[in-house]
Amino acid sequence: MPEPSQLLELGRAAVEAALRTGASEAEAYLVDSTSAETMFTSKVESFRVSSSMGLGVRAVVGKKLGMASTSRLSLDNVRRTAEKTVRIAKASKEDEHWHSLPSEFGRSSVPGLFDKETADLSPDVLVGCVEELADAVEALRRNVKPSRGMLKAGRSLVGIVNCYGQEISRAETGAFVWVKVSAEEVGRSATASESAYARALSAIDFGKLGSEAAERALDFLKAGKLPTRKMDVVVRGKVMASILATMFSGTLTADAVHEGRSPWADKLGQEVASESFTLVDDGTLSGGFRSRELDDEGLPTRKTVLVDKGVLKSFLYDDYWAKREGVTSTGNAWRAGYGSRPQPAPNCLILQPGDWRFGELLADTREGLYVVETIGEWLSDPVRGFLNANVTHGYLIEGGELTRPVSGVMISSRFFEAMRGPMDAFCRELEEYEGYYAPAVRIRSVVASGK
Amino acid sequence: MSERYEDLAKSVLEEAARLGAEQADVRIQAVRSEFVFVENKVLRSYESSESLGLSVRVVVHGSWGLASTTCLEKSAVREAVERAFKIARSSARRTKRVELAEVEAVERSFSSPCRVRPVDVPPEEKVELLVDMNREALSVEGVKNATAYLGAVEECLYFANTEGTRLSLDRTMTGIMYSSVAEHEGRMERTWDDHSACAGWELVKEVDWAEEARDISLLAVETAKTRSPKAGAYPVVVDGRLMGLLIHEAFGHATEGDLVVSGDSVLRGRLGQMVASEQVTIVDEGTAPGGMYVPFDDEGVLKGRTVVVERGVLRSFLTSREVAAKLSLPPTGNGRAQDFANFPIVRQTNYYMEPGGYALDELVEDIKFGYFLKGRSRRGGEVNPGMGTFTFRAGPSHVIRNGEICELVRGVAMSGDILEALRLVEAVGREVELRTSVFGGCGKYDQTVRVGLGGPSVRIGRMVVGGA
Repeated sequence: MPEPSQLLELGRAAVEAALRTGASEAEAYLVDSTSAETMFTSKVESFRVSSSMGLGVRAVVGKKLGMASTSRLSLDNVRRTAEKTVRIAKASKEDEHWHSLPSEFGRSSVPGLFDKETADLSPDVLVGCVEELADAVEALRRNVKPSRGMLKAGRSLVGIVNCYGQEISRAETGAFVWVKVSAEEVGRSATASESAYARALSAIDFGKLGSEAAERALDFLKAGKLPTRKMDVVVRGKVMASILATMFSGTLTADAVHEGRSPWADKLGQEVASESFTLVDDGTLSGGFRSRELDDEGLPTRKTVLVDKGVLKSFLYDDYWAKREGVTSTGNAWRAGYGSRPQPAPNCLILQPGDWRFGELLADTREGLYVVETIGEWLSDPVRGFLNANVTHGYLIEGGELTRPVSGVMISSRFFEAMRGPMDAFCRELEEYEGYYAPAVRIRSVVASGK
Repeated sequence: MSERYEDLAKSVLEEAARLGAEQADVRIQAVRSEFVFVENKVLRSYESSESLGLSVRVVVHGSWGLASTTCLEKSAVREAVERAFKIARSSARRTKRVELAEVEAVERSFSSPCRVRPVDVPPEEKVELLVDMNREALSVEGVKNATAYLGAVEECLYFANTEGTRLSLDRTMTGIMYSSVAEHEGRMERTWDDHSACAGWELVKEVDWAEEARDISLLAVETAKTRSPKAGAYPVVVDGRLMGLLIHEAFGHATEGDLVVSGDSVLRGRLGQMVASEQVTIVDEGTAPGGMYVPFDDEGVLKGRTVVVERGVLRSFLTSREVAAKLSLPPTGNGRAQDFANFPIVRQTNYYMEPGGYALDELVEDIKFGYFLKGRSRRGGEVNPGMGTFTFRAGPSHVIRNGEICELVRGVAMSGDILEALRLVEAVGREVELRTSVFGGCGKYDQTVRVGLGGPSVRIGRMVVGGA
């Protein structure tokens, strides 16, 4: 891994070249990353390591913006890219709302974002993780095996430099594992999937992940169907976190609000949910998968309460939208890649836990459906608030306990209405999904369409 | 570029051989691209990028290792080779021995047609073109929003392996994707189209873009005024654009040999059997007019023409070298990777149904009541290649009444079982139109590759059609 100073030096060269070519403002964003990825079944199917570097330059001429990027970081090419950025800016149309690039970078203190063992990307360690997982699956029974899986780990170094003499960098690691397990017996087969995201390989319990998926796959060899009816549904925290991503990641940002893509546009200060519903964006969550010390424009991350006990309090901003509305950035600038412009997006979006124990919640629910795995949440509509998901793995709640496995149930709910009352119980433990966090939640009276 | 990178590739292969690789290949890829997005006559983004990278893939102790880098300095390249070795050795603890089908070594150079390099066209010209398209699209009454998105990609690929294959490719793609949103009595309708090709800026000069933009606006306005179809099972004619997508997604993936090996294909064990009506012949072809230009795959295997289905009989699966060995089939040149950094996996190239003998009016003439389902402005869908089931949302389509193509309908979905649908193919049209897209392609295992889609219009005896 190069030193941050090497990246920042290239960034300075880009900014200087852009200013020399006629830019009134310029910014360089650099990334150096290495990632390892293995695809596996019972054995390692493929394993690769990729190293890449990249530079994205933003140049402003008056109020005209241009961007260009390159993966070729020789000094000559860095300068050429900066010059091209200015040419593009000159060809652009003016953005009358343009104010300026950030004039002061900053950093929050966030522990747990870099792990040395993960950064090493040792093939032996990674193959060891795969072995632990696959062994746990196969230890259970002969008829169950991992049918497809992926383990990815990586490290990255980001450097940002701009024309106001600002320079900053951040280093992070991450690991991600996903596995689909198949169980077979005469005339039947079933699968189950599990995944985990963390900043360190050691934070993932590969054995537990494997055996949980294997046990579920075996359970679902005898999965039944459900008749269509309304029922109380308890949604697993992981699934709730993924619903959170679908429902809120694109609509609580200032750009979505401004461009008419958000249903929350005129709801600031209003009651949008019951008192037990609190939604927070936290870029400083220790070890959070979407936590960062600073955002993709060099501004410090923070904790922003979006919905406080049911009342909509704030939206998420990058520097551009913050200046456009005369507020302070919430440190939510994200870039899809080094060549992409920053846009506001959530850091760690967290649905605050309540005080229910899971067992008590089941006992209190008496009859219902516990939703463990779903597909097709993309069928949901985050603008109108319709939640639709295909429950591939659920368990009936009967007499206050989990009983039979059921599959192929479509659940539909008017999610925004559910937030106001029917979503009435929140468990104590947070679960994660790709940097989104939620507890298990009960939603009353959901339409479950079965056979 | 091939001259420039030949020496580099040679030194990588020598280093791999010296370290004791049983097999090794190296891929070098340089890409320059520009993507320009204009909405309602305002430039929203202009992304210009270039990248260069190398990967080396080795077989050591019967196990794969692949490492890549975007830094082509000697030390970084040597480090990549060593890394690939380390990976292979670690993986060998838990892997089956890799066997590769034999292929003859070849030395060839290819380039897709390109007269004017699109990345060299000045930014101003690109922005103006898109603004003009928006202006034309917005001039249609009832249209509230118009977008135009230009993409241009120039790629150079170089492949070499320890068996003596040396291949190079220059490929250029240009295209514009555009959309309009119309409102009628409070109901919004968005329509879109994408006109891309493996060609240079000359494509832009050959097309009347203002006319295309106006046309997609008119379609949005007309569609907003129409109704959804009556749900039920009907005889249908599916146009080439929608049929091409259906064949690719619902049937093509099931013929990918890796899915056959892993048991995720409904076609496993069915070689030599009738899987479609006698009218149906399906091929996968590396280069075809209008389609994607894939003269060889990312394992250095020439991609000719693979007959997958011949008059209804399943003749072949698509393979990479490893999958070919596993299935004891010939390698078909379908080992494709998203880019240099990824492992090649089995992918389609230009996958389409061969034309039959019918004109469009002959396809519809016997239908008393049914639908003409169209792919333009379609909404996507879902398939399960293991089960053979599909659901697709077509673009604005038409009712067929008494053998005539009649009024427009919106929000049409079609669903069913692909093998049943192919068995019910009654007649195949004579016109074939293939398309590709610079804006994206087909995803599998986290890798996206560009493909060619299309084919003739087809009459299917019965299809479940729903309103969406």
